[in-house]
Amino acid sequence: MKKVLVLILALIIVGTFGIFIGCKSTTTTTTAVETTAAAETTTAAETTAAAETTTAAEPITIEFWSWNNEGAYPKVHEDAEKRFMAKYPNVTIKREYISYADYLVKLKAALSGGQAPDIFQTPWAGEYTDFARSGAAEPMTDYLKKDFPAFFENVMKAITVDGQVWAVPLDLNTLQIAYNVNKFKELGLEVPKSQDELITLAGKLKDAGLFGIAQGTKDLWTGADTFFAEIAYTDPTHTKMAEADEGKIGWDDPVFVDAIKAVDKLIKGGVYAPGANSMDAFVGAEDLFVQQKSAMFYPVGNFVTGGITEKVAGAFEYDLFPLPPLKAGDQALSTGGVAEMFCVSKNGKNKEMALEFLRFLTNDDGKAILVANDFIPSSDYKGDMSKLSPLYKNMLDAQSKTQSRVIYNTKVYQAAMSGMQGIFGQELKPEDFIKSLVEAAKG
Amino acid sequence: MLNKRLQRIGFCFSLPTILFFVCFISIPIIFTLFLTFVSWQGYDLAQIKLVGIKNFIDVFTDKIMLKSFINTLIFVIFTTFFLNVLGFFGAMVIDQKIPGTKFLKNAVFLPVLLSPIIIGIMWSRMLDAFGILNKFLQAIHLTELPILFLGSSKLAIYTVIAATIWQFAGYDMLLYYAGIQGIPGELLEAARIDGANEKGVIFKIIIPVLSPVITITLLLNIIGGFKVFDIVYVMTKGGPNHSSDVLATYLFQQAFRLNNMGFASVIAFCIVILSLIAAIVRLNITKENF
Repeated sequence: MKKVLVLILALIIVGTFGIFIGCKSTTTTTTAVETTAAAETTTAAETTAAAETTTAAEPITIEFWSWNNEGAYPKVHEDAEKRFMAKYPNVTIKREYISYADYLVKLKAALSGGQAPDIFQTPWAGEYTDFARSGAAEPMTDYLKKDFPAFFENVMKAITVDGQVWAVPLDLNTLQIAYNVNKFKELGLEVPKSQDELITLAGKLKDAGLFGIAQGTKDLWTGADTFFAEIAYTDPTHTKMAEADEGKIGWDDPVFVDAIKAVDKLIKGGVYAPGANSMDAFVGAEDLFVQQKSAMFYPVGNFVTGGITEKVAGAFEYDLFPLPPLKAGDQALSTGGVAEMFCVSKNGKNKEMALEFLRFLTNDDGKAILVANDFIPSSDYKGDMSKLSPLYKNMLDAQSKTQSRVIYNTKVYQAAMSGMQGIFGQELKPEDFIKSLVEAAKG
Repeated sequence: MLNKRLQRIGFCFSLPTILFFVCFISIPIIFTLFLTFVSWQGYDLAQIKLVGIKNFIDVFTDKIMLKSFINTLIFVIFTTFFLNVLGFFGAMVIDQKIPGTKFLKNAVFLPVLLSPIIIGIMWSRMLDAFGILNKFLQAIHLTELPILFLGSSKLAIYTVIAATIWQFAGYDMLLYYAGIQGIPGELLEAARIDGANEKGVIFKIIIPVLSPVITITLLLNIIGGFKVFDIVYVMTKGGPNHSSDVLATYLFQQAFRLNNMGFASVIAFCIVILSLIAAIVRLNITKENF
C-alpha cells in the first residue's frame, strides 16, 4: 500500500515539475525564435521577404485583439482575414474582441506576462503614449515605408511619439451629433447654426415631449469629447490644446475656461437628456435615440453609424451635424482623429506575418471594404466614390474640418473625463473643473 | 525512523499545494510589496525605478484616495449593519413554521447565487433615469423629474450599497437561520414558561446564543466590504466624478488607466492591511468563542 502511495506521490511531483519545466522550455524556445526573428527583421524589406517565405511553412496563428465589435468593424477585419488567408493558407488569424472596459486590463496582463497578442488595437490619447514608451510595441516608422499605403501626413503626425510611429492607422473618425430627420421635419425644426439656436431647439423638443441630445457620460470619454468640441470653437488657432498638453501653457488659459463655460451653458439650457452620468456611451444613450425618445445623440461617427442604422432598421431617417459654433455664421467644426489603430507586439512570435496582415487591412481592397462600411480610410482612396451614402459624404465633409480630440497627458485626460461628469451632473463649477486640470497637469 | 518517513510523505503530499501557494500567493504579495517602492507602468520589468516612499506620500496626500477610503468605510458600515439586521430578522421570519416561508427562504437566497456583475447591470437598468423605478415614481406622481440614483454624486454610493444589501441579505439570513436551528427548543420553551415575552426571548436568549454566528457574519461582511469592486464598477465605474469610488475601483483606475503600478500597489496594500486586521480580530474572537 505504502509503495503505491509513494508511486502516486512520485508521479504527482514529477508531473508538477514537468509542467514547470515544460513552461520554462517553451519560453526558452520562444525567446530563441524571437531573438532570431528580431535579428532577421531589421529592415522592412527583409520582413516582406520573410513573410513570403512563411507561405510554405508550418501552420501559424496570429492573435489579433480589438475592442471594436460595435458597428461594422468586425466585417472589415473579417474581409482582410479572408483575403489574407487566401494568400497564406497556413496562417490563421485568431480574432478576439474584448469589451473596452476589460481590454486594457487584459492587454496589460498579457504584455507584462510575455503573452502579448501579435496585433493589438491601441487606444488614442494617453494610453497610446504609454504603449509607445512601454517597450511593448514595435516601432513602425520604417515598416510603414514599405508596402503600406502613404498615410495622411496629419495622421502620421498625430501618432508620432518620441520621433517614432508606433501603430498602423486603419481609419479616421469624426464625432458629430446624430439627429432624427423625421422628428425635425415633423416639428418644423432645422439644424441649429449656433449654440443658442441649439438651446432654443432643445426647448421646442421638450415641448413636444422629446429629449434633446442623448449622451452617456458613465463611460467618461464622451464627456471629455464635449469639452474638446467646445475648444475647437473657443480656440481659433487650434493649437492651444496641444500646447497645454505639452505643458507650454496652462489649462487655465481663457480658451479652456470659455470652453467649459459653453458646455455648462448647454447643460443648463436643457440641451441634454437627463441622467447622462448613469448612461453608457452607446447602450443607454443610443437606445434613447433609437427608441425616438431623444431627437439627437452624441457622439456619433463612423465607429457607430453601422450599429445605429441596424437598430433603427428604417424606422426613421437620421443624419449628422457637428456641435454648432458659438455664433451663428461661424464655420461648424467637428472633432475627430484616428479611429482604429493597431500595434504589433515587439516580442511577438510572428511579427512578419502580423505586419503582412496589417498590410491587407490597409491596402486598396481593405480601403474599399472600409468605404463600403462607411469608414474613412487613413490614406487616400482612389476607388469609386459615386455610390457613397449621404451619411458617408457628410462624414467625409466633416473630416476635412476636423479638429483634434486628443490629449496625451493621461492624468489630465482622466481629470477631464471625471470632471465632465461633475459638470454634466451640475455638481462641479466650471472654475473647479479648470482647477482640477491644472492640478492634474502638475502631476 | 517511521516518524521521519511519515513526515517526508506528508511533506510530499503537501508539496503541490505549497508550490501553488508560493507561486500564486506568496510571490505576488512580495512583488506587490516591492512595487510599493517603485515607479512602474506595468509593461516592461526593465523599466522599474526605485522611488523610496514616494508612492506612500502620494497615496496619503491624494484627495481621491481619501474620498475612496471614506466611501469604502461608508460601504462597510452600511452593508454590515443592514445585512446583519435584515439577515437576522429574515432568519427569524423563515424560522416560523407558517405557509410561504419556504418560498421566502429560496427567493431571498436566490440573488446570492447570481454574479455581482449581473446584479449590477440589472439594478443599473432599473435605476437609471428612464428605468422602471423612475417610471413608477413618476406614474404615482411622487416625482416629476427622474431621480438620478446612479448619476448623482450624493446618491450613487448609497444606491450601490442598496443593491449589495439586496444581493447578500439572503446569505446572512441563511447563516443566522442555521444558527437559530442549533438553539435547543427546550431552552426557548423554558424561557417562555418562565414568563419571557417574544422580545425577551430574542434579546435575552437567541441573540446571546447566536453571538459566535453574529461575530463571524459581521467579520465576513466587513472583509467583503473592504474588497468590494465588481458591483461598484458595473453600476457607476466609481463616478460621477469619483463620488462612488471605493479603494478597489481607485486601485483599478490607477493601475490600468493611469498605469501607475506603484501607487496602485500601495492601495492594494492598504486593502490587505484592513482585511488582515479584520481577519485577525475574527480569529481572536473565534478562538475565544469556540
